[in-house]
Amino acid sequence: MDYAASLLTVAGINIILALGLNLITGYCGQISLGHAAFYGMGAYCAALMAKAGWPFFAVLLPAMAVAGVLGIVVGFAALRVRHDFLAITTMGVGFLFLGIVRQQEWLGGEMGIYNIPGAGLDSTGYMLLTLGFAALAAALSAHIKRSWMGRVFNAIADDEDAALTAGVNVAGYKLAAFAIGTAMAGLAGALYAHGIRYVGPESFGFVDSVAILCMVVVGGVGSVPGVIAGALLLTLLPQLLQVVSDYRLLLYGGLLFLVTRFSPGGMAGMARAIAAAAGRPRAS
Amino acid sequence: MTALLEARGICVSFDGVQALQEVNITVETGELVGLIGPNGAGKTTLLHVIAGIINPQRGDVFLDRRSLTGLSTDRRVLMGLGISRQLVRPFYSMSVRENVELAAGAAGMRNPLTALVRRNSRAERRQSARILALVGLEAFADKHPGDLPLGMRKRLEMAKCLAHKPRLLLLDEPLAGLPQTEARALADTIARLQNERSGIVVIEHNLGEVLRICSRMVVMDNGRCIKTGAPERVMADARVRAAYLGEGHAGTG
Ligand SMILES: Nc1ncnc2c1ncn2[C@@H]1O[C@H](COP(=O)(O)OP(=O)(O)O)[C@@H](O)[C@H]1O
Ligand SMILES: [Mg+2]
Repeated sequence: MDYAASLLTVAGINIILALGLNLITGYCGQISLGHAAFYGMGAYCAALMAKAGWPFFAVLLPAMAVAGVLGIVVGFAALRVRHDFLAITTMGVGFLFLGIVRQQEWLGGEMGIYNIPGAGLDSTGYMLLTLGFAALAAALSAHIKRSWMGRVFNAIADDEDAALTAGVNVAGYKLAAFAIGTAMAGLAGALYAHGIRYVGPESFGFVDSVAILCMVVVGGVGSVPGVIAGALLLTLLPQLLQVVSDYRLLLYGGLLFLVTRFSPGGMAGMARAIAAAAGRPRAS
Repeated sequence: MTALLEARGICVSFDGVQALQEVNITVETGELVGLIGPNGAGKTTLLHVIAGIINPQRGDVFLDRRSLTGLSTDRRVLMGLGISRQLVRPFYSMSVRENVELAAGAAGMRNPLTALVRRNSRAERRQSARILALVGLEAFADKHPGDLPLGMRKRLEMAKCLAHKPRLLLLDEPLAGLPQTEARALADTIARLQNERSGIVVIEHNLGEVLRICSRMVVMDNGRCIKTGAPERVMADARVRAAYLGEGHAGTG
């Protein structure tokens, strides 16, 4: 039971992470290869506050705020660069974050921060809480998609220059996407810190950023159910199959390649294609 | 002096190549200005400077005597510029109607937080219906831009501009690539958009149609404005003829 609960807790955290990145990359079209840095920001912020005696629920908002503010700062970079340059910039942010954390004694350096107080719930309770937050993140994502904000994100992802000449406040919306998406990563970080009760630099590296991107791409860029499925799959698979866990990087690289090459819509796209094929007989 | 648009001393160079050299242009309200000149004369570059798509090395642009210098393109659009670029760029992921709605809602939705709590789009829907009728696209409202012929996509481009009730409409080669009958119909539509409170600048190679609809011509060559005035007078000018003949450009596109 404990093992299952902690596994589902991690799955819930990954769902929140992937949905946050989906807002930035899927909805708004801004590639990010540094999402784990915001996750780490939230985790470290929560760890420090918890160690200083702050109760669990008081820590969540500050963790989101810290990650969100860093997200806005990185968002300003997204106003200057596009596409592959943005990928490199966000990747740089990820390395910068780790580089700084590893050097700072007050952040535990290489050792990390341990003995973080828990949330005062048993493992099942904490799992339910995390899954509850994941459900909230999904609801927010679905709401944004249907709101005017979702439409504008869609326009920016479609053609940024055309959005500008349509009078759209492209800069403001990009910053909003980064702020919301990274704040969600901050929440995931806080949940991680209290759940695992240890944070160290090795959990927030480049591989983790790639893993989150992989969940989004494999699930289906822009699709809420798809991204949730992608997060679940890539959380559970390495746990169930040891060989997968040994070759994590290979798996991510291979999946990214296969999906972009053969099914750019990810699992959601495949599901749509199958539903469409089942719905009407195919013309030969 | 109550020029609607005034651009003064605009200089632009790309990697040392002077694309615009001390260009001045004014547009008064009620004018439909035809901006012509051989390929590479700098017409598109001038439009991009006015639209804020590129920043000039020198020079200033004023709309209604307010300086546009340093403002982003979207801000200029909200201040009254309608920008239709040479290559049509609709949002291919949305229907024709949604394209226009998005532009119509842009002014009210500057703040992303207001957009977060907004679902319905009744006002934008009404406005887009009116504009689509104005440019003759009402029958295509639910189609996707990718399914429209070029002429209709050009009208969509214009519809997106009109959603902001622009004071000054900038059109870059709206007739290019259209068969003559369609070009003529679209030129008529452009002429109909003209009124006493606004202005239009149309860059065009189809001289027959610009001459027919514009009230004044501006001719550019080699990054300079070489002549401006009434269409007949401009076309009779020796320098204008030389610029065109030198390019091997016969005229009516
Ligand atoms: N982005 C750019 N980079 C380099 N050179 C450019 C760029 N845009 C335009 N030019 C050059 O500037 C000159 C004017 O181009 P343009 O304004 O497109 O002319 P027109 O629209 O009158 O045909 C040309 O010599 C063109 O090659
Ligand atoms: Mg041009």
